[in-house]
Amino acid sequence: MRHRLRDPVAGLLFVLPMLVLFLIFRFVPAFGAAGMSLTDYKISGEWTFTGVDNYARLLRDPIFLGSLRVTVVYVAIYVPLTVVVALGTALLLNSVIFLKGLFRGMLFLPYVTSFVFAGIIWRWIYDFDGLLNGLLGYLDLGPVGFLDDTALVLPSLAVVQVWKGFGYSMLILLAGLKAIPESYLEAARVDGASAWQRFRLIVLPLLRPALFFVLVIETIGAFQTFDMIYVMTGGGPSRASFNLIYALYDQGFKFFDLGYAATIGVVLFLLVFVVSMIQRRFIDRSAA
Amino acid sequence: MIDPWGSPMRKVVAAGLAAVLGAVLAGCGGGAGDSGTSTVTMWMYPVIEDQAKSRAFWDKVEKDFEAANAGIDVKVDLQPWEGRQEKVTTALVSKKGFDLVVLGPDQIPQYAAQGTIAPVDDVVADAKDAFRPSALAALTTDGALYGVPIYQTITSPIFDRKVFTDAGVTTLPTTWDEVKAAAPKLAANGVPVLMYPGAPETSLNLSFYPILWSYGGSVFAPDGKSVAFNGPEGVRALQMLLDLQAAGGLPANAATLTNVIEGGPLSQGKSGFYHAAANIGAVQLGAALGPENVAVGLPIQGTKRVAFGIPGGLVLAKASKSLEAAKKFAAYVASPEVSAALSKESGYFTARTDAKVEGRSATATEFEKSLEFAFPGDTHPLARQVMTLLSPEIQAALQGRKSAQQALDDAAKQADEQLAAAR
Amino acid sequence: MTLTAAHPAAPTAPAPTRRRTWGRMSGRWPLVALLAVVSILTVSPFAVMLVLALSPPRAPTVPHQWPDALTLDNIVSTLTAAGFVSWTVNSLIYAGVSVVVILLTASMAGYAFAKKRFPGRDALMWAFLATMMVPFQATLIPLFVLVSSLDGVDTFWGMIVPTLANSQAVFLMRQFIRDLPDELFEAARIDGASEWRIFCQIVLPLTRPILATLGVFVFLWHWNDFLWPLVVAQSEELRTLTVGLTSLRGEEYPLAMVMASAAVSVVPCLVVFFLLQRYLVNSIASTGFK
Repeated sequence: MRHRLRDPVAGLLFVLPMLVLFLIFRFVPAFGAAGMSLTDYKISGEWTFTGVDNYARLLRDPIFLGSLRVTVVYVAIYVPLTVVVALGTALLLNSVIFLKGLFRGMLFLPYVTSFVFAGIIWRWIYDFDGLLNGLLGYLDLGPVGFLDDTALVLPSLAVVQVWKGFGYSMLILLAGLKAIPESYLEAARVDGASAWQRFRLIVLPLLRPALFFVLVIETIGAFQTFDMIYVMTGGGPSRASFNLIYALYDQGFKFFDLGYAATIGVVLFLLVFVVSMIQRRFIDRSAA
Repeated sequence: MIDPWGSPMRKVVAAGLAAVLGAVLAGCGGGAGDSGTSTVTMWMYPVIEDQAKSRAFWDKVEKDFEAANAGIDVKVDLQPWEGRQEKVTTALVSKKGFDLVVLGPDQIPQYAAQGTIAPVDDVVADAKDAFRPSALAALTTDGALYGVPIYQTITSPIFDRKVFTDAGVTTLPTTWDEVKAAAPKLAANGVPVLMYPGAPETSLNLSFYPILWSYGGSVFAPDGKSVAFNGPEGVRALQMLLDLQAAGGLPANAATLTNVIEGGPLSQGKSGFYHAAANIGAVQLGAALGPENVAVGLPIQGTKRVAFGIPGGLVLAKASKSLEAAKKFAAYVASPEVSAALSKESGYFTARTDAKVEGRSATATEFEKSLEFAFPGDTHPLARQVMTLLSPEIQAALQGRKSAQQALDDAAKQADEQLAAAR
Repeated sequence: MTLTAAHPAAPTAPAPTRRRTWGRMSGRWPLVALLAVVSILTVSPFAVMLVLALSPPRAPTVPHQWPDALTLDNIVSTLTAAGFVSWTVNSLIYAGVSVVVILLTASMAGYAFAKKRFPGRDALMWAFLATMMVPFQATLIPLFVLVSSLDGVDTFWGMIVPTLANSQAVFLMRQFIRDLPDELFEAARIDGASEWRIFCQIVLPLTRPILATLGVFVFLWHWNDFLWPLVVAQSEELRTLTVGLTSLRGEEYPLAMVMASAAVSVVPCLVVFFLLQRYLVNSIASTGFK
């Protein structure tokens, strides 16, 4: 690609509207929160500078440390699960023509609803005398306490979030699949490549930008899961699903310790940022 | 080549820009303050269940007050319960929004400690004796009253008569010992006697605390510097629950059950009773089981009877620009006439004893009997923190991971650390 | 959004057709069956929602037993709630304005990040992306104080403008614009097209499927948004539909009514989705490049 002089100016001009919005409404509040984490900010607006006191407190706070563990475990369960489901359904949709519009709409439907609704429905499904345990009963199994068992609660919640959210990633991956020229696949087919070879050697590499997007977005979403946990388990049982955002919410809006809440926010941000950077290195090595 | 500006794209962009401009201009019109008259904004919540009735009620209150008080313009905004915490907090931080807001006693100590709400002692000064003492006590922090009580809630046990009769229990239990005795009989039919809601979403005020109180225990030590729930009374209360559980007296998922009546185990004939239900819970249960099968009792006795019940208080924002007018309006809403009318519309009770409410439903009359046992819970600035520490430990005990003593001790240790750190 | 007329100039357009013979189709029936099963499982909870929404309030109903009667009362009383019309209009403004502005600004920014070179480009892209990693609950108070100091509380602009800074949208557009072949832009430039013209004639038409997808998302995010509209629109006048519907709920609101209002607020989202459906179908490949 040739270097063109007008590129820098044009580039900046194209970014400018978003840049202004971001500077005012994203960067300023983010720095505000980072600043608050160094104070004992009160609702009345009074504060004194407390340095790294809040950060030191984090290290001594067993509830925070527990929520850190819950968050990491949840992300490790949720992200692979949702990417596999989204990719699987996207591939299926891409290879079917019959009624595909209808199927796509059906698969996307859960994304349209709220977590409150999802929470109510899935509490029934997981209930001791709910749908799933009814099915298990036919097999002489159970009852299983999907939301009652400290070991099962995170996978169970992850399933709900996947159900609720995979339509989003599915649509994006589908758009990515559409961008792959049919002629490439046709050529490979002529060369006698198997379906798996076509997927691995052509589809997957070309899908990388979309896949990277999905991975980053879903990871961030998993770190920030809150509404569903709030509705379904309240962080329980015995804090087995009490994650960082929950801790942040409790400190900020239940106990009004705004400085400490901001500190948890900063830590969560750093955590997500580092993980995203690792993901980028991992994927961009062979792609972009 | 096709000219893009001849395409619908242009219309779309133009419409977008127009919309943005319009929105900005519309925004500039807002926020201007009136002069001359003082405006009082009150944030009210759906204590009157039916929205149309609620609107009509508050419109009338507004109009009646304005007619009697020229120069004061009142605006009652009906807010949703959901997100109340965030909305009230952001409003207080930015000093914009309400002059008066309805809050329960659990939020008041913290808002008061952070200096964002103003005392209202002078509003009730003239009629102090008319208010229920427990209501005033609940809304008082550090010797100052921060909420004008406008209604009072109460909880009572609600029973599914049928499952008791089916098990051969003809008199409904009135003490925890009788509950324990009934447990195996109901369990023989596969019905747990007590619908205990152990989920952290359900406040301990509606699950464990009433049992604790009924055994004479309390959450905090009298000086408020440490917790007391792990004393002998607390252990006895939790052990009673665990004994019930061992006798098949609690639902299998008691640790993660919420206190929802509609669709919950009680309304499906899968539980005997719930010890801390609100009035509306009895109505819901009646809809599910038939009103003839529902009984309302007095608070279950351990060593005494205690019913959780709190006042709703009108709280004044310190940043209010019309403090005096707001106080006047608060006094009006808390007057015997208005609070009696509110009580009638809402199904809640009045926070004062001189307000006469006629034509109550039979259920409400039953609940009213528990009012003399009303206890608002401990008004401690860290009451909510302590609750979030204790609730997971009780879950652990109910799931068999900890003994009663150990669970309470573990929670007490964490709570005492927090209390020490807060000083 | 109607973007139909703006077909791109096509210097290299060998119209590729997707020929599918019946022979190849027939091998796919197992896939169709699988897809059908997955789709039906996915939507089955909505059947429960519908039955509940049509059940008389507080009467015994699903999941425990089939209701004795079905009624439209819940839906009707939701639709006739005082304020329903103004809540819907407010939601349409909140979502509609955001869709238009975000689609435009995000595709501009995405184009620059994907195809332009300027100092600090990648750092800026990551700074944008990083804002998404900041939990909203942590910045809610600083953001609110900021909007309040700009006198934006209880105004439409205060509600809408802060939500326009959407890094997901920019990131999405960037990922997809990166795929467009550089030769296209070269060719247009040789033709003497201005930067803006290139953007309108090449970028926008070629990214139509992803723009449609993004449009659906932005609409949904705003339509279902609760916390921000709740706190910013303090009075009843600016209330959006999600906030308005929850304001109907007393402490023990019947489940049937909750489901009825959920069903009512889902409908516009479905309409938007199915309206834009046909753009989602059109593939980038089928426009003839690559």
